[in-house]
Amino acid sequence: MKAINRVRASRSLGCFLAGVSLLLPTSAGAQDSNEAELIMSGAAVYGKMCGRCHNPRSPIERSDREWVTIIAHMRVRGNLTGGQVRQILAFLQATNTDPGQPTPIASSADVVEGAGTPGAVNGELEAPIRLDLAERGGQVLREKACLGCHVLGGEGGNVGPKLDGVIDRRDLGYLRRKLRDPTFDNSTSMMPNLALSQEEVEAILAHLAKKRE
Amino acid sequence: MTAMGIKQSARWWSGIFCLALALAPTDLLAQETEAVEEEPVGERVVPTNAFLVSGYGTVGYVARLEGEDENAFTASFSPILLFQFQDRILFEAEFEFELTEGVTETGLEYAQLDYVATDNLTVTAGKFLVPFGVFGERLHPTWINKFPSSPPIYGHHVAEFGVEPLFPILSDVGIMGRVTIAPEPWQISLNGYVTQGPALEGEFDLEDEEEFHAPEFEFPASSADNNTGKMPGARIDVALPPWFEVNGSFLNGDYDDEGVLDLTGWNIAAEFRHSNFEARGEYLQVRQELETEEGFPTLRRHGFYAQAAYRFGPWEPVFRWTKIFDDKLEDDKVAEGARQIGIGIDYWFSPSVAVMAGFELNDESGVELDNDRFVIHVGFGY
Repeated sequence: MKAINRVRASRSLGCFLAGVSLLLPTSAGAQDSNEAELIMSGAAVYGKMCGRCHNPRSPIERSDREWVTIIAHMRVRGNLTGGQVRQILAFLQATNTDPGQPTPIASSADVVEGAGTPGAVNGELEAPIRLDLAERGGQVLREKACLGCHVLGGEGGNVGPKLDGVIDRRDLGYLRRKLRDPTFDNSTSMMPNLALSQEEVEAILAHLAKKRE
Repeated sequence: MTAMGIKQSARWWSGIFCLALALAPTDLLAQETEAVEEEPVGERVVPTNAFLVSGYGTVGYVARLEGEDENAFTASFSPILLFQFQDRILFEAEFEFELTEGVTETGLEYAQLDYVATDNLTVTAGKFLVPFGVFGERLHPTWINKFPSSPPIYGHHVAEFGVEPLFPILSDVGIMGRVTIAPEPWQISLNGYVTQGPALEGEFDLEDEEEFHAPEFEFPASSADNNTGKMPGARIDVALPPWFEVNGSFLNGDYDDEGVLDLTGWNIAAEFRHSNFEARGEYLQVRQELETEEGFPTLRRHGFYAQAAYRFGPWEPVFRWTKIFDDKLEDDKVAEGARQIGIGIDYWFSPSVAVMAGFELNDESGVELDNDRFVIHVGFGY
C-alpha cells in the first residue's frame, strides 16, 4: 500500500514539475539582443553561480566548443536556467582569448612614454597615465565585460572588487600587471586573462583616472 | 474527510490541473520551442555532437597517531565522460578508481541521460547523484571539497570514522525532474525524483545481536531492486547567489526485502559567503523502522557538520565540526554518538589544483583506538 502511495505521489510530483515548467515565462536571456549586455550579464552570472561551489575556472581552460558541453553538464549539476547558460557561454566564449597569442600590432597610441613591456621591469610599470585614452578605456571596459563583475560609478556587477578609487588604492605597476596577468598575485582569481593589448591596458587606466577626477 | 481522503482528493485535483495544462499549452509550448530555437544559439552555442573528458583525482597520505600499520598512501582518479547530442541531450558518466587496502576499487558514480525539456525543466534518467543535501551532489569532488576527507555523516572519500555514516547516499538509479527559476536576484530550484531506494546491507536479525547496533543500509543502485517499493524524494533550493543558499531535502523508501520497513531521511543545508569567507553546514536525520517481537519501533539517528573557510591569497584555512548524536530507539538511547573536529589548510596553485592538509580529532565512544589522524592530498580537477 505504501509503495502504491509512493508511486502515486511520484506521479503527482512529476506532473507538478512539468506543469510549473510550462507555465514559466521564457528566460530573460531570450530577450537579450544586446551582445555586450549579454556578455556582461554572463560575467556576473558566471561569478555568482559557479562560485557557489568551486573556484570559477578561467575561460581559456577550454575551447569555445568544449565550454558548450561543460556548461551543459553544469546546467544539470548547478540548476542553471537556459537563459543563464546562454549568458555564461556568451561571457566565456567572448573572453576565451589565448594570452599566448601575440599582442596585436601596436599603434602609435600604444607607445606610452617611458613604458616598455608591462611586467618586464618594475620601473617601466610606473609610466604616467595617458588621459587622452580615457574615452577608449570606457569602451574597453564594456567590450571586455569588465563591468559584469566590477562596479564603476554605480554601474556594473558586484562579483569582483569595486573599480571606484582603485587607481588610488593600488599603484600603477600593480594595476598594469593585474590587467595583463590576473593571477600573478592570486592563483585562484576568477578574473580571466583577456589578452589585453598595451593600448587597452593604458586606456582602462586612463578611464579609471578620469573617473576619479 | 479522512487524511487518506484528503490525499486522494489532492491527487485528483493535481491530476485535473496537469490535464488542463496538457490540453491548454499549445501556444505556450510553441512559444517555448520557438524561443529555444531562435536563441542566439546559432552563432554561439553550436548544436552539434561532442565528446569530452573531464574529471578529477587525488594523491595523498593518511597518518594515524596510533595504529601506524594503517598509515598509507592514497590515490584516486575519477574521469567524467560527457557526450552531448545536439543542444538538448547530454549523456554523462563518472567512474571512480580508488586504492583501498592494496586493491584498486572501481565504481560507477553516475551514468545519466539529461534531457533539456525547456529553459527551466531538465529531466534526468539513469544512475544520478541524488539531490539529498548538497555535499554528495555538488561538493564531493576532491578538488571542490575544501577538507581532504568527506564529512563523516555521509561517508565516501577517506571518511573512515569508526562509526557508520548516518546516510551513505551518493547516487541511485531512477528518474528525476528539475525545475529552476531565476527571478532576479533569487534562484529557486525544485528537484523531484523516484529511485530504486535503499537496501539492507548484509544479513541482520535484531534478536541475534548481543549488543544493539543499527541494521546497516546502503543504496546499491543496482539494476535489480530488492523490493517492490520505490523511493520518492525531493529537494528545494532557495538561493540569493552568491551570498546565501538554503536547501531542504526529503526522501522515503523501504529498505528490507519484504518492503515492510520504512526509511525516512530529511536534510536542511545552508551556506553563506561573503568576499573570501565561506561557511556551510548540513543537518540530517534518518528514521529507520526495525522489526522486533513488540512491533516496529523507530530508530532515530541524526547529526550535522558545519564548515568555515577563509581565503588569504593562495592560502585557505578550513575548520569543520561534525557531530553525530546518540542513536535512540523510540526514546531509549541505544548507541553513543561521535564527534569530529577537523582543522585544515589548503594551498591553491590554480583554481582547480590545491594541496589540502587536515588534522582530524576523532572522538568516538566505545572505540579504544585513538584514531585521530592527519590527512594530506593534492586534489586536482581537469
